[in-house]
Amino acid sequence: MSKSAAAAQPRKKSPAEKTPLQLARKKMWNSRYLYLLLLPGLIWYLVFMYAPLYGIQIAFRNFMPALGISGGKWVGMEHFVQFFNSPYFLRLIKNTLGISVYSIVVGFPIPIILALLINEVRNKYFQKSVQTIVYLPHFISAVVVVSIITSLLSPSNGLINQVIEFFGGDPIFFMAEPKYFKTIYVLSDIWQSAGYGSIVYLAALTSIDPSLYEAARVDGATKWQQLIHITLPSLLPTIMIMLILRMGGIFTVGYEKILLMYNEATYPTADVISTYVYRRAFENGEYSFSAAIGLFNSLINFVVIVTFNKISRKISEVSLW
Amino acid sequence: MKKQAISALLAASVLAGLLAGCGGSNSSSGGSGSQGGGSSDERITVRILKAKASNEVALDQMEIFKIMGDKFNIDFEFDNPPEDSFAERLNLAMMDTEIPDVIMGMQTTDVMKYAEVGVFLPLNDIIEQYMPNLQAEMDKRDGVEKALTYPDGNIYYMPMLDEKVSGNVPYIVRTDWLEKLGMERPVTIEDWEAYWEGVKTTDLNGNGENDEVPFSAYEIERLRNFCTAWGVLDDFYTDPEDGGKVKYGPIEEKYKEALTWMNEMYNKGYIDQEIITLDFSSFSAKLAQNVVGSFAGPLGGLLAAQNSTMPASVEGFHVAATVPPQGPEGYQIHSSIDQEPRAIVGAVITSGCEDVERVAEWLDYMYSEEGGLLVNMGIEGETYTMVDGEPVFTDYVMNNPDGLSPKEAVGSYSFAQSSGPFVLSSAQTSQLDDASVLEAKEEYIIPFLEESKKYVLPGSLSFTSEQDSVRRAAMADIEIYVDEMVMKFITGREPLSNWDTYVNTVKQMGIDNVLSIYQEVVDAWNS
Repeated sequence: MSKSAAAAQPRKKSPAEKTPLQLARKKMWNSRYLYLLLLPGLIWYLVFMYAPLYGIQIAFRNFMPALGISGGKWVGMEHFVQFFNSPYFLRLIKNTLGISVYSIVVGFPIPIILALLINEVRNKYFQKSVQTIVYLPHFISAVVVVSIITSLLSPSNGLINQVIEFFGGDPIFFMAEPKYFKTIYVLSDIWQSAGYGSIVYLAALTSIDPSLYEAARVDGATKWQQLIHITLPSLLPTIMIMLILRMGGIFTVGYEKILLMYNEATYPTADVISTYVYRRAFENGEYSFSAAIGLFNSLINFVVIVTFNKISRKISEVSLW
Repeated sequence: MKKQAISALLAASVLAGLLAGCGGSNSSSGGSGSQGGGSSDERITVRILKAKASNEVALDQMEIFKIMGDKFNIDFEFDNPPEDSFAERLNLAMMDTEIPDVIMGMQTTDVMKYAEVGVFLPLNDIIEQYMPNLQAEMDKRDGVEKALTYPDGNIYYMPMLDEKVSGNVPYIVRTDWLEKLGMERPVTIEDWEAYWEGVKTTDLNGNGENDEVPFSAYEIERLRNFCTAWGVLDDFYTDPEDGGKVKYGPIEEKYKEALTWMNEMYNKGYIDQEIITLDFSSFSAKLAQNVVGSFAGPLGGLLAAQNSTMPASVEGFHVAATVPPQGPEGYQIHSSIDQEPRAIVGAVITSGCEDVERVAEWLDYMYSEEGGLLVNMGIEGETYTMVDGEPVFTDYVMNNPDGLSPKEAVGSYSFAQSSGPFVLSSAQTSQLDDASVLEAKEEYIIPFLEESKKYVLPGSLSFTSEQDSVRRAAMADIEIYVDEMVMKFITGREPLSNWDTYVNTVKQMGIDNVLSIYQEVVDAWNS
């Protein structure tokens, strides 16, 4: 974007007259109002995103609340080493990645498909109602969602098990079977977020030039061909951006829902980095140790997003920066 | 294409901004209390952090705080989270820039953690100077002062004291079902098995369905606690047969025998499968369906509550406590007794407190006779009257016009049913407790106290922060592993033949280290 801003100020003076610094200053002055507009955002970032980085040092200290952030004893990498040597290190990584990959593979295409389907509906009222209905679950709190899941899947009086029993099967205690945990988590997540996730794609769909479709129809393209050759290619940049953002969070699985869903029986497949951090920090009060894990987690995420951005730029020419 | 990429980017970044806005900043909700302070005539503001027990109303609605506030010229501000999120709230409150002045009720081990860095004031001098009533109560009781004193020689919290033993989580059975089956209350684990078999195979609730659940609970620990019948506790304990050595129950050989039995019971379908996913409210809902034959839970919260609510819908419903289950070798232990002297944290004063003198005087008032009556019994003329020099609850409490149970009715006046800085009076508890609770205490708990005390660790072990951080770090991992494996052993997902591997893993995770810390602390306590 900075390129276009620069290109907007062509001056017919010989460049030899001015040093690059002066040129830059001149350019800045010329677009001073744009910079003014940028200012609140920059300040917000500095105050709320960069200033708190100061607190990262507690990951390298033995943090005690009373002594303040820089007051605890410096222990260097001790907390990191402790985490790498933890018997749960591999399991946490495996579960976190497992749930993430599972939900990307299964969950990522669904909002796109949903958006395409909604887009094709011709009856406006029907379209709007469907849209509203699929958004709604997004606004239900995780606590309620998990209560619903637990009652639906209860082995004694849950709906699902009553159906299984009706067809002559034995009731399955889904919430206590480690092998079902990820599936339950991912599917309920999709149910909750697919509608909301489709908003971005619906917005992108409206920006496709209608004349493309008209031309295709004149050439005799079927609906399916229009979808493949016009809609999807036009959506691709949005899809790629969303995917990159999603990949950036591949080592992050939120703790709220898992904390509510897991139990002693499903720990082996359910315990992820964020729930582990939560337990160690808030139930055990080990802030430094948790900060270290969190920092490690963010570093990996950073590496992943940079890598994926590069790959994406190479193969699809779309990238975040 | 380029333009679209930009609009897509914008859309995405707006979305990302939204997401970041939702989940990103956990900025602290900075304390808003303005500190008064200054001369003692001025009205001051005191901020209190205390857990809200389920049968209490919020502290800011409690009449007694208004009365005490007027008496001591104090405005109270409350941070009053529910009991189960108190530990988290405490951890967070200690990170805040303005920590509360007074914190009521917490784990004794947490006290040292914060006291050591100077957040909690040492109370030795404060008690001596400003708190004569507390001093008198402590002098009345042997060993209290020792229990309160931390290794550095200071006292950091004022205790909650009581006149009579309380607190236990016994096993509870349906006596009306026992009658139908022609059985007595179970004593040995064979009795338990026989009762459970009866519940499982008989349509005791008479609804024509085989839906009776012999044993349920809202925490798997309640089932695991049956291990006491094998002479081992489900946690750290001292083994009187081994010279009082500290042991960790879940890796003891005796525990394996207990697990074998639990696994057998589970396979026979006597244990509710849902025991691991039930929480207190869903468990209560299950109890209300009239299908549960036995369970475990706190005396007041479950035993009394069930007996007061259920008979209205289920004819003849009655539950009662049992003696601790007796194992093949005759062990009978209560694991959840409180050691004497009880070391319960009543209150701490923090370094954020500006007018220590006034706050100490106010806190001391609750240990006085007048203050004790207020805290325990509520307001004279409203909730109690004096009859022959003894406080007696009025009809407002005992037969509440709004249909509240006696405990709930008192709960809008007093917080004496949870922990705080006062002496819990036996006048209060004996009048409020349900007959089944009094019976449970007299006949099923007290007779086993002496034996049980040999096993249960002293109430107020004080770790140094060094010991505590080693213990916490190791146990954080060990407890998860143990919970997981014990669960698997009980449900049979892991065969008990893998017991040795399990014990070895726990040892590799550093249990011996933790045990030696406990041993040191217990030895120091005993000497």
